[in-house]
Amino acid sequence: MKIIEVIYPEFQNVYADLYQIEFLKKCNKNIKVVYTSYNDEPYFVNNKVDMIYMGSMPDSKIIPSIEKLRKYSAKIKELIKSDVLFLITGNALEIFSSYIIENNKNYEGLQIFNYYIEKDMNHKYVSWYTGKFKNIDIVGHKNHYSVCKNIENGFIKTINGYSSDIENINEGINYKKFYATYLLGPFLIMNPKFTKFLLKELGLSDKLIYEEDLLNAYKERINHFKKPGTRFVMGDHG
Amino acid sequence: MRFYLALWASKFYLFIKKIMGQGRSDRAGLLAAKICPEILTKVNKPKTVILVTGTNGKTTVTHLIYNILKRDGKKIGFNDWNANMRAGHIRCLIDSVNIFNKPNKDVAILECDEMTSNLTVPEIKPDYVIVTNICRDSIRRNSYPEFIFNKINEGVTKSGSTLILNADDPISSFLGKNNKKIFVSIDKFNKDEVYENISPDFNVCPECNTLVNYEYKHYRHIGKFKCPNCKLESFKGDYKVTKVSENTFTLNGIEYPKLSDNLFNIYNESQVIVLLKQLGYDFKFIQNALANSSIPKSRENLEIEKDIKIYSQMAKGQNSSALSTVLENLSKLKNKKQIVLLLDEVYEGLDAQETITWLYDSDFELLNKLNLEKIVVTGPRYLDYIVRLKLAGVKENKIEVSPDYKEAYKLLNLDKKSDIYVLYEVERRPMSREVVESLKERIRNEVE
Repeated sequence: MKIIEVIYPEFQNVYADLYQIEFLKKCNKNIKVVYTSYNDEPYFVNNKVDMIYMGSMPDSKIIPSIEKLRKYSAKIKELIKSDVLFLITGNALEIFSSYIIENNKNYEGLQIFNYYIEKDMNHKYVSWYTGKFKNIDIVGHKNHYSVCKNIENGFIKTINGYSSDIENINEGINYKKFYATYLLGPFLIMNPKFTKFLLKELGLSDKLIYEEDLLNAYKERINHFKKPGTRFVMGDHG
Repeated sequence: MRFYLALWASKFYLFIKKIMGQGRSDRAGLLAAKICPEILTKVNKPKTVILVTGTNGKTTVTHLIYNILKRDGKKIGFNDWNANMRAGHIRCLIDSVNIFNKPNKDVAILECDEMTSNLTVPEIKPDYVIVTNICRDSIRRNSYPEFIFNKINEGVTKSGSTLILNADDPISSFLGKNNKKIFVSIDKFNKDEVYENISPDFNVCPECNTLVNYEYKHYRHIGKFKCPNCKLESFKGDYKVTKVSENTFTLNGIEYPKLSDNLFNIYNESQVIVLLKQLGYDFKFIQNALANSSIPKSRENLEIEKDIKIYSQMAKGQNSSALSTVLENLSKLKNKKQIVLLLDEVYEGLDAQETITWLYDSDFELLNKLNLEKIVVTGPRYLDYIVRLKLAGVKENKIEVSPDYKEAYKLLNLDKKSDIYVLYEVERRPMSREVVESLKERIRNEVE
């Protein structure tokens, strides 16, 4: 049995992120999910976990999440170093940053990595997205109010749409088995090939539920994005 | 001087446009704003200005108010042409004054886009602001409910308007801390099981981040909550619905005609009643006016062809709260159902492709509870719908696919015991009419 811990699921009700975990559960019966609420001690503190998940949340919940998790930052670093899988989607990647700058104020992140966040709630980055992770085509969409600077190990190489940094091709962060991306919500459902990779990383069979249907939708989307003239960035910053 | 130049130029432009039959365009508003950016503050307003915003129900509420006040002989400015942002408001208000900036209307009714309300509401300073509710909407425009709360709150706080709010909405009811507020609420009077949404719009206390407890829910996040930690709780209704019957509902002891079976329309109607009371109308006038009113047909409509019932129901695309609420209401009806989904964006193409996040915020799992005979998915995103429906547990043999919406009517069973529901995105109403008309013709040809 593989244990996935979802940290603060009650905050993650904004961009369908949690459905990804439901999807993983449907893919493999050997997955058990532990949900840790904001007022509870994380399960990983005293128990073995195989994967930790955090997803998009209202931006007002980022700082409270950091403050609650701060005392576990050393433990989180230890888990990353010992190859526990982390999947972080949407703005939750801000939590693991060095610091967040917003309205000329600096907030310390969990300082797990050296990247930092520049945030402005008046500028939204909305785009469709294509990129490459290893030899896997990645598709998705984005909707965030921050950019992520000083990324040392990019997760996905951006082809179309906004990258995390905006100014280079790095999308998200990958260090050992820590994968973080601004890509939203049904990231795993939209990217069945990456999900197969993820399940293998978890030490499970890479068979997906409704795999053929997932691949049909995935291929159609990739083909759609290859059409000349496709516009990825939406509006003025979205 | 610049203001008058803007007023005259835009009124002349509007005059020409009206002659050309294009008077419902908001270009006159754009022109006026270009000449005089602060025109919205400078244009004189009618004696009463009513502004309606919120996620769902704005069009229903504004049309109800308009129809009732019109029956009373009021001269009304109303932006009823789907232009609910600044240019539309300017266009409406310059048409509500004469060339000397003197109001020539008694009332302005303004539907207002919630996303831009932080800018327009303080400029307009309406007498009354009705906020129907705040739910999740298109993520591309509106991000998430808290983001929209902040936008509306910024606007109403600066406007000093009297707010008419839904006490049972734990999000919008906390708007306008220092504004005068009038709350409506609906008592819990039935024992319907409430469906727990896969993506709740409200679940943690805004003060202390603790998971809240609900005493009851009517649908989605609409109900009575209390925080077990800091004791923050729902407001009490100044106007309470205590009974809902087949054709009527009782608000503060007075019975009013019910215009729709959907509970969210009883909230809409109640907010309209409260507004009318504020404007000085007595309950007899309101009862009579409502008895002669209806929910706009663009929202919900029933047609019967040879005893087969065809319901058209708007369920905004990209808006999981609207679709989930419709599905939740359908799940409470016991009849056998066939559903056609016309939810893809009209503007699909190289310039835009829908996000599919909303499909995984929407409660398609409810399809398993609503006596579903068949569901027909249409439009360019049909492959995504197949995945979503299967993940929701809908049996494969109940899913039919028609990428071209025009063919959808052919896939439905013509069975008098099975009601047909066409759920459509607002911009797809013309397409939904095509589907319904084709279906009616097929029924006429094939059913004895």
